[in-house]
Amino acid sequence: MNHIPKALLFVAALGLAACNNPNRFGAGGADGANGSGGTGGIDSSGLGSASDPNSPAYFAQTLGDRVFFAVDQSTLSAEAQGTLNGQAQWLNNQGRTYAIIVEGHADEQGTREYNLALGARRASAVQNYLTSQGVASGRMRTVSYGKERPIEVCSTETCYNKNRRSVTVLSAGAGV
Amino acid sequence: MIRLAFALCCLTLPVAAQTVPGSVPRPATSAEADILRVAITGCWNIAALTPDAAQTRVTIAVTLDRQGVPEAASIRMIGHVGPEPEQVAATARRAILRCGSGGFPLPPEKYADWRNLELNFDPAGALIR
Amino acid sequence: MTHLKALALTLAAGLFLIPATTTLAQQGPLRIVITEGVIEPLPFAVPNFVAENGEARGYAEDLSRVVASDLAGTGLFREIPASAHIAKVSSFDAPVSYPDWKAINAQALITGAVSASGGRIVVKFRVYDIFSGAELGDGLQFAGTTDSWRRMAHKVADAVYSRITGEGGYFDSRVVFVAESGPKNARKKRLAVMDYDGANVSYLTDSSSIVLAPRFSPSGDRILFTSYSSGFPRIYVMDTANLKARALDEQPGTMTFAPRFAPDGRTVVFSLEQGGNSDIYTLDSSTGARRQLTNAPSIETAPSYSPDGAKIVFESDRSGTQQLYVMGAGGGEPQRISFGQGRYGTPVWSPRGDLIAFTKQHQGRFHIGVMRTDGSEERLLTASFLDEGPTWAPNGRVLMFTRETSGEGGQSSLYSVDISGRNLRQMATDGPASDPAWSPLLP
Repeated sequence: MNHIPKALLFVAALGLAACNNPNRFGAGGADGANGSGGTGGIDSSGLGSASDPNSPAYFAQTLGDRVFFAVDQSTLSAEAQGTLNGQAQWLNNQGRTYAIIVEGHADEQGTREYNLALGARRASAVQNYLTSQGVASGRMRTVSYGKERPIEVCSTETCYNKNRRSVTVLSAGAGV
Repeated sequence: MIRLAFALCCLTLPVAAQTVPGSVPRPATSAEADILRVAITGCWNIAALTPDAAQTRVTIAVTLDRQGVPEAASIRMIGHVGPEPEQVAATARRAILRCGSGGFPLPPEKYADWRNLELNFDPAGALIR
Repeated sequence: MTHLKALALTLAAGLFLIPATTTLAQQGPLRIVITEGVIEPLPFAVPNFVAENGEARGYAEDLSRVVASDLAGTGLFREIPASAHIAKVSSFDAPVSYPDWKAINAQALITGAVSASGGRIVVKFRVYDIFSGAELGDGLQFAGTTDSWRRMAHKVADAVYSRITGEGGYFDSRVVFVAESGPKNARKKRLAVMDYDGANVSYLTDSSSIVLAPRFSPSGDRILFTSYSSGFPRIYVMDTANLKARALDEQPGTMTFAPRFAPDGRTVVFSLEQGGNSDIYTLDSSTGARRQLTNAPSIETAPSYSPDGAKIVFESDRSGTQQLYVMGAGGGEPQRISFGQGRYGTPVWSPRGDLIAFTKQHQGRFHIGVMRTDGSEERLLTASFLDEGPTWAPNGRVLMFTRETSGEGGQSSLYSVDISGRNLRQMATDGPASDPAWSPLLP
């Protein structure tokens, strides 16, 4: 400091030395928020054969595990209701073999937050419909992926209408 | 100051009734005023004004020497309407000094007319995109 | 035109008119009204800082380059390259040769000097207003560890910016964001943080779970974010000192998302979804007390506090489409503020309190825009296939946001834009990135 003339320099260390820890944000992973959960939420195992009417593969492929929605909508079309009727019948016949997660998804035309909320609406609409068809609500949970997990990756309506969906995912275990 | 101006404005309104709003009677026809307006406009950089400051008008007084060079010490804000006037005044000051550093091209014989200037800087219209 | 503005114009007109009438009588000053200016970057020069000892040599040039890059990056300033300089600055205390800088039209000159020893450096600088022929403010000095040299450069640039523009800077700040990798239908996401200019990136989580929309606390010591680590979207709060994260609120069967801190740093406002319906809640992060602020069958999300903590702006589709609403911080009847064509989302109150930034969707395009807090004077700043999620620089002058390209190879990156709509820039990140959130100015 002695070599600075005329006291013009206002010394402002500003606690840089104390406050500036370059590792403040460090590197590496955080605990707590990095558990399981997978990246797609579709943790299916032991699918069985699609030709075995008691297998989850039959449920997913032959009956159809997903229904589709119009832009910004969560109402169930007649076609969607037909698919869900088949799902409900199958689930009721299987007893309590499978726990059910209903996923809600949106296309990419929307903000992240809105699409999360919209996906939740869609999943909930499916859950309510399945409940009305006799599936025990205690077996089901919903999860929204918003626009995070599209099935189709193009940016036109031919892909968007496949991404605006709800998927009924089965996993072993009697409930949630 | 603004209140006073408002009162005076109403008293003098009949005099100003002929003029287009926003224009100034005498200098509008003055060649010297045109020279100064064009020169300063070209140097008045308003890119850095905040949206609030861009709504503010300031009045700056400045004295020129006989060569038409602004005397830096004479530059002062004598009025303003709107928030953050210092910001606008700083841009105005730079414009005056930068454009006037070589002397504004004004007729020496009319020095008495242009020695003292009052410049009203109004960025509102200039920043509309 | 508002009444206030009309009044202001009347007053201003009055101010201009009276002297004109007196002029006729007594030959007063010549009055001129200037209503036009130029919008161009202000030319400045930053000669390489003087190294005051051998150890400082490496830092002196690097520091001055970061200062120049900060200033030029705003779009408000333009650097005059060293090759054009006439005067050379070899001593920090030597008198400034104003004519030489005027000759190259430098309007601002920044000189500096650096000394280094024992892992610490001291940087001092001065700013000169060339055409005024005077120093702009007094010289200033920063001291810190050699590791923090970039921060010291940012602090110098912040001080210079503030002296020239009259408003605060934003260079000594950080940005938390989501670093992305992998294909569009299986995107991997992890939290990362970087300096505002993209330097010093570090990762806060691994990519085993989807993470979304991180937000800094007002002091920068914590980060809120949404993670799927439990299998369901849930809000977590991470301590930036030790990277430990904990769930903010455990309510089985619900989804929580879109969190933001209140200015008090204690209250968190967020969306909670239950049975398909999303509403806005607050949670006191100290006591765990939860409060429901909206109660409607529509989607209420993306809440953001006014800087005084008195109000919350959020989006809702209660009218049939997404629009912006303002309510008191304790809830109550919201007032709709967006009335233009299209859908409005992700409103964010500016730190200056004067504007609200938002995402707008209209006719298949996305825009980042700003409006006054009453919804007036809407201005769209950007347009693309997908722009979303603006975040304010600490001084309320710049917005950063996510821009995503379309199609199979579509990727996200971070962009910034001045609130005038000028100076659109892509931020330098190692790979695809989304969901930026600016920190406050660092202490």
